[in-house]
Amino acid sequence: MSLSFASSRVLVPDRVVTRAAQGVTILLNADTGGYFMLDDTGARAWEALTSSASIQEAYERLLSAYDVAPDVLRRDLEDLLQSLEAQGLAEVCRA
Amino acid sequence: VSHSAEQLDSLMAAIVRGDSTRAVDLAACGIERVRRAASEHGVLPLLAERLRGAAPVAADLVGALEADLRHGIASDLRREVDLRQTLAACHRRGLDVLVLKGAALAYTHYPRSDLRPRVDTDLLIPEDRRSDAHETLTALGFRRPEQVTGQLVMSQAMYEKRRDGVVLHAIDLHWRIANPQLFSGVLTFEELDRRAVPIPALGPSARGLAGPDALVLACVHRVAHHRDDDSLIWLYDIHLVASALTEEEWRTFRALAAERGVLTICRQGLARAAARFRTVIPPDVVEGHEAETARTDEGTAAFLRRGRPQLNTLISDLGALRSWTARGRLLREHLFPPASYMRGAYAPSSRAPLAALYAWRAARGAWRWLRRG
Repeated sequence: MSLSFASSRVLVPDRVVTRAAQGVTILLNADTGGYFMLDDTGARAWEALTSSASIQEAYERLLSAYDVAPDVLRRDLEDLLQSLEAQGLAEVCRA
Repeated sequence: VSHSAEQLDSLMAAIVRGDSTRAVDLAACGIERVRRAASEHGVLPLLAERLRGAAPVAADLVGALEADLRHGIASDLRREVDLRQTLAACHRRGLDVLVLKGAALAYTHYPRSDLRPRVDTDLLIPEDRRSDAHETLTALGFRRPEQVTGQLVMSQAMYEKRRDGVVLHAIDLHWRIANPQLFSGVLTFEELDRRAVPIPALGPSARGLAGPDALVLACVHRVAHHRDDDSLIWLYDIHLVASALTEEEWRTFRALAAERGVLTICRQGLARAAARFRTVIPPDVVEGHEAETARTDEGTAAFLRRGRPQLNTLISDLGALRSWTARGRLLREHLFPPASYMRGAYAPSSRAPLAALYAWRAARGAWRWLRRG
């Protein structure tokens, strides 16, 4: 099922702790001990997703920052959010 | 190019102290050999961090070390979150806890905590609060693995928090600073607690040792528990703690080491750190040590003898105890650990009689105790 970027936004649960070091950003689920490692591009996507009013806004910010095809970026963001949600590292809040 | 183990250790120490011009020589030792040695010495994260700038000349090595380092960062973060929760829970219970050794130094003396790898978190509590600490840790999900127990034979207990069989966080809960009797009372909880300093990175209630205490413990630990082990990470700990001392703290350190009979050991640790990392030691500390050491006969210095059989530690323990009752108890604790431990460690799935297990353990232990270490 396709995610509506315009009517969704990303929330970070309190259980998530982050640390950036040595070129990576670690997202840790403090409840489960599971973690996700983001490279520099992933970290910028995370920053955009968690500081934007909607996923659409984050998508547009990233589209203007990277030389990437719109549909590729959309798919990458959907995959990333699916992985983060599965690990309890992000909640996608749908209107 | 073929480098001996000593040359490799020396190269790693050079890189750790910031001499990146040796990166080419280190890379020539081979990636797997360097990874293994760096891991054994506990300096893999430091090497990876230092070598980042030298990537063009040692790109493959840097890439391999960085991959290890990144997983180390994740483990470190997980442990840190758990430690903060643990310290907060102890505080809520009114239990005073001091964070010791690498777990504290990682936050007080290293630029990033993940640069100081460690297998467990050492905590020190008052001896009479052991049951409170046990209840607190158990409530947080920690469990005790099978381990020898006893009033005299152990000064610490291991606790582990596991998920899916994997240890997420291990805590070494101390009520004395070391197991060998000669060292166990060198620094007491009460005095360390009075001089303790905050560790804000671990929460508002987190506290660790003051500089002079931390230096004495760093010097004692590598000898009392690790047989004068020259692992670079122990020496780098000593280097960092020593380098941060003020003049006044150096004087305090020197007086403390002399008073507690660990002057020779501290001097050895500082000398080894200086040889590897060029630690600057005030001349009066070294000279003072020489003069005072000559005047004293420190029993603890015997632990510096290389190849010392473990039996000598038992003999030293028996000599340090003041009564025959205590000596008898120590021997009993060594020879006859609790039945639950014997069953779990030696025959979890057999019905062998306990007497046979004790005999088997004694026979195996005799060889280990007599072997030169």
